[in-house]
Amino acid sequence: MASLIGRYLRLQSLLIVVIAVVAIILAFPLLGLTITDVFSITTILIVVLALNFMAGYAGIPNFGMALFVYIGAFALAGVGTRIALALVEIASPGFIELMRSSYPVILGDSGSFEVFVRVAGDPMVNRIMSREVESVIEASPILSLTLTLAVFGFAMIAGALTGILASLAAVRLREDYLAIVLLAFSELMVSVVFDQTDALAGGPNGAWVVRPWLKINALEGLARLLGTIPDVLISLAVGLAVLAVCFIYVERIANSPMGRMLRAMRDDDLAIGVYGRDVAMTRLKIMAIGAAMASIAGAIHASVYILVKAADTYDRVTWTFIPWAMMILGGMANNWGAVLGGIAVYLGRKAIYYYSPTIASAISPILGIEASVAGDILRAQLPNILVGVLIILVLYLRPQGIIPEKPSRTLSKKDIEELT
Amino acid sequence: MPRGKVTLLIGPNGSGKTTLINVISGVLSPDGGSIIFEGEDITRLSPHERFKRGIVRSFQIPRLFQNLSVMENTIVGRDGNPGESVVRGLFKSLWVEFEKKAFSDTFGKLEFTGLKRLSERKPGELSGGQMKLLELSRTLMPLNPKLVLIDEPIAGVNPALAHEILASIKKVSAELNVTFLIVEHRLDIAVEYADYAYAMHLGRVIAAGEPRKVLEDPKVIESYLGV
Ligand SMILES: Nc1ncnc2c1ncn2[C@@H]1O[C@H](COP(=O)(O)OP(=O)(O)OP(=O)(O)O)[C@@H](O)[C@H]1O
Ligand SMILES: [Mg+2]
Repeated sequence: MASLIGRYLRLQSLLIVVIAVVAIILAFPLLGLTITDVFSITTILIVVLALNFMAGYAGIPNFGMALFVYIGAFALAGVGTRIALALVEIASPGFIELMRSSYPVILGDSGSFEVFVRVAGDPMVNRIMSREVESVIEASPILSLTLTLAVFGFAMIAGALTGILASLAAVRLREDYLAIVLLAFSELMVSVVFDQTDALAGGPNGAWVVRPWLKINALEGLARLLGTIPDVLISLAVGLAVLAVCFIYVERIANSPMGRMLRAMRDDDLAIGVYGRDVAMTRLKIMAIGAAMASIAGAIHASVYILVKAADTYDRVTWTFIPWAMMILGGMANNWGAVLGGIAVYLGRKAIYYYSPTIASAISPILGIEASVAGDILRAQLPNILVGVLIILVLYLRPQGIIPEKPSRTLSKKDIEELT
Repeated sequence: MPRGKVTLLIGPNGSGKTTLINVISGVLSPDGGSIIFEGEDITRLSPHERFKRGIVRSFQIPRLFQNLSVMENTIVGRDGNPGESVVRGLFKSLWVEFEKKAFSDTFGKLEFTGLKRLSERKPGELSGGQMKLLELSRTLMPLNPKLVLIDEPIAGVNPALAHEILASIKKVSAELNVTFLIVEHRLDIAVEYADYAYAMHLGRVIAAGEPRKVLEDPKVIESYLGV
């Protein structure tokens, strides 16, 4: 009986996967999907997995995801550009001097320190120099690799530290207060500190990033075939690799005694404390790991979006609320669910976006407005409205999401049978 | 409290028995006074630090993990699992033996409390008495407890099983030299398993000593009659 149910469940999840794969393949021609969409799904899935790790498993209601994603983008846009300039100056001394003489009007009387501030802080200097620096980086395997490691290392550490900082004040709080503190902290950092301080990464103007990737000519043909450029393919490959590593990590932890303990902590933190678990310390670690994952996703994302602005590119709707919707739809405390929910919500939004002109021309005569105006309104508002409606519907009708939470499978069925 | 013995704590409703357990286990902090455990002042320690010193407790109103199975609720009571780490959790070989032992102990406890056939269920699907039994099963899981505080273990449990539970507690206490403090209203059943007893009224201890003597103490009888 049990094995029959087990086989049925396995068949069911196999079916879900097959349907998902077919839907995704069909989505390309039907929704006009491009490689950029695949890339976007990849980065957002890393964020959803990180969120699910923190909120779904450990019960930390992280409404500040956008900040942790932005920290990674900042690692590239604010820190990476400066590291890149330093690397180039070390590799070929006199580079900064050369820049000064090439661009006397904007750089003429800047001291070296000032150049380092302005290379990511001043829109004009940033725009010109980031391209110049990038052309040196992309030609050298050593520089390219060093920059990649530096940027991702920084993203990971800075992300983890921000996670710890955000939770230091908050981990001892009750869940609802914790959510508000994280939301407020994220808003404060992204919309006020980063978005209003030019010297960090261009403030509201944003900053152009130096892409750390090596120029690989062999990718040209493949890129053209897929309608994109080689750099995007490299970003995508790195993104997919990181996604795979993150998935394996969270899935393994979920099916270890740690995953079980996190779920228990989420359900009743007082009871798990009475049973000897240090709740504050556990939350701190989970925040650090989840935030580091989100930051790496942010760094990968920024490597394609080139010009990144804090509050504008890393807004709370895209990077906090939509990942929450994806997680809730897919099923909290279930990693496959998170992935499925992420893909479903992304494709759903894309479909609305893609078909809104058609819908608009159908409904515009009824509403008495011009089709193009109706189309713009639909495009701008409908996807977010529907995400809101979706969250409410799922919470009412199927609060456990598409794939519900399952017990942590620490031991195999065979082991358990032997023990009973 | 005599070490390695079963002590009974009685008193009318609202006399402060659960409050005392909360204060000893660190769930509540006292307004005054201090808590000394094995010569150490533990008044300022958090519940998890007190657990590490060997203080285990159960809850009068079960506090179960609602989305964990009966099996998982029980096994979580086992401390010291090397797999409960964000790094070591990744490597099954580091914790699989511990986990197997914990699994078989868990099945043993669930067998004893009659919950084994329900091990895949969620706490929400259990009856009130079964929830109490699950709470008790979890309380019996920690590896090296020194002081176990159990709040009404047999409330809502049928008499035959209630006798078995108390007998088993007495046996564990004697064999492993664990001190038990048991709060119970079912004095008829509990009294024969206790070595010592305290009676509380209005937040104070009003009698202590040999269980039957405490029960017969006029002050205790008075307090129960609500004078
Ligand atoms: N020592 C005390 N100091 C202050 N308040 C107390 C004290 N003891 C008990 N109380 C108050 O009495 C209330 C009930 O106490 P408690 O829950 O400990 O009762 P109990 O003896 O466990 O009763 P029951 O048998 O009904 O479970 C507490 O919530 C608390 O407000
Ligand atoms: Mg009580």
